[in-house]
Amino acid sequence: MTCSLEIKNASKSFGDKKIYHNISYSFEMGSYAIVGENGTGKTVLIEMLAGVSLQDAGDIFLTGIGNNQSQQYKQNLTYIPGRPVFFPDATGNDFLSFISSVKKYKKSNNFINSLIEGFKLAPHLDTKFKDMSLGTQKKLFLTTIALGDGQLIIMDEPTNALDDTSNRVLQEIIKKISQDKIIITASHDEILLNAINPTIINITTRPVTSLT
Amino acid sequence: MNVVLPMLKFNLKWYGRVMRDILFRYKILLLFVVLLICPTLASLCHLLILPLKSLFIYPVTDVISFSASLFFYQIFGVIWISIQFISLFKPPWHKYLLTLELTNIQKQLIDISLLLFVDIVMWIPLLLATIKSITMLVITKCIVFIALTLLAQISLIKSKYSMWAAILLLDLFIIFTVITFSQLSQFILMIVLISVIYLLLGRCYENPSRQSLTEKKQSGVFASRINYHQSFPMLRIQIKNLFAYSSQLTILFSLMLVISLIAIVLMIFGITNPFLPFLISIAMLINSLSVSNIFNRVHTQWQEYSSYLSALPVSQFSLFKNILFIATGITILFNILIIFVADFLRGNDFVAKIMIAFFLAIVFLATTYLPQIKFRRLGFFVSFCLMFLFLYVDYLLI
Repeated sequence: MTCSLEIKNASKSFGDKKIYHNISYSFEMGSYAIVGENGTGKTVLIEMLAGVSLQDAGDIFLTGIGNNQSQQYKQNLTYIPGRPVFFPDATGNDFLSFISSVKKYKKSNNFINSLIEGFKLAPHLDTKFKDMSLGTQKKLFLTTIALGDGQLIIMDEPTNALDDTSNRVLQEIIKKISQDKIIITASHDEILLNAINPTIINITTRPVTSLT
Repeated sequence: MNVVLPMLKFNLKWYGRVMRDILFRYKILLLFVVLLICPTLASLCHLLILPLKSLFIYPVTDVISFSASLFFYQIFGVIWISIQFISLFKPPWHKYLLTLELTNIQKQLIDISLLLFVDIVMWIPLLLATIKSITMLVITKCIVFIALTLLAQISLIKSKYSMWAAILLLDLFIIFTVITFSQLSQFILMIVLISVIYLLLGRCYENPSRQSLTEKKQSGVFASRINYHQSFPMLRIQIKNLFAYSSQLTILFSLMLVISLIAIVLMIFGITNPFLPFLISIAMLINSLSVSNIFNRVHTQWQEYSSYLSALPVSQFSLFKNILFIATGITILFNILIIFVADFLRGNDFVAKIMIAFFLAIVFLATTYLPQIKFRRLGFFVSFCLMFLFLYVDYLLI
């Protein structure tokens, strides 16, 4: 099934600060990168698209599936936040089991096994979240890309805290899955952006009135 | 010493702040407990001191009460610290502290100074028990008991659980000493014991060797296996998370145990009381009310990670289902104990009556979910008021 992610006349403010005003955009299958200086509102946009933070006005939806607050939308979404946070006493296996359970993903596949191998995560799967390094936590979150049949993958600064090997693994994943999914990444990482060659959305002004 | 005093000051400030929050959070419960024990405060003090007196009697004639007091005192010390563990030893700067170049002696002094202060509530009854018969032997014994309690507490803080075997051996040695030897020999042996305890305290602060750390790390690597299809992962995570706050869970379990024991005592001594089934139903509802705090806690934790969890297709109902399952499990565990004892003591008719209260307590628990998560701090109070409605229903049905 092919679908697109639509933003229709969305606005977002924090108090008096207007961040986005009446923006519209359509994401088709492929890879997109949201770039811009610190504080321009990349994470705000990412969080709106992920349904973590609600837009004040307008609509964000996956065509034929539902808006960013619906369970169907979330079922189709894989979100990798900038700062990986999860219950500190859960282990890596608990985390992955939890995600596959809420995504109702019962299959075992080679993809997730290859990600665990590529990210060298196997030794850490029985480690508690609070005892993992930031890089390991991030890799664990990235592994959830392989859990579920979602159409939309949203990542905020995915290469933060990753080592070079894991960076290359991530580049390969994005290249591979962007053929049949919508991948949206907020990143400053030039190496990643050069490797995956995404459609660039540059956020410069404030309030942002259009995404180009 | 120049490090120990400022650290004690910081630690006490932090402890005061956290304890103030806890007292505020449990103000209604505290008020209830104070009102309950106030009329008998004097006799309570007397009851607290009475068993401790047996520790200082010479010659010891009642070995059982001496041993029981000794063990009880140390167990109480460990529980007392475990319920305050986070407020005492997990201040926001505790990780930073680990990076400072403190000697083991300094670390010991920092911990012991704080414990000596926090344990005042334990030292006072001990001192009151000795006040009428102060001799050198009594003072030495007092130091030994305090030192042993501190050792038990520090082995808990430092997770040196193997030390408890040593404490048990020391306890047995003390019991043997007090029933066998003369006062002078006891005094000498107590001095020796103080030195042994001091050495054992030092052992608690020894760093693990590099080799054992490597072994631990390697065994961890081999133990890991890929399993991302575990059963009931959400439930597992919630349970693990609850157990991570073991101090609060200890308070909850202790409270429920006390309530269940009161119910059992009532069943033993209140044979002729026509209101007995109703009194038992109150105990069951109080058990449910105590557990209902879990809803608030789990919900708050869930909110803490909402920046990620709200992007997942997790319904509020599945969250409710999981928390209710855990809370009901805990309630049933304690209330079923009352039912079993009732069955043993009072027979079928009585059990049939309190079974109604048993099921109503579970329904009451489920109804406290919304107040607990919507009204937050007031949630307990709203649930408390709701309890009276269920009490009325219990009264009508029983």
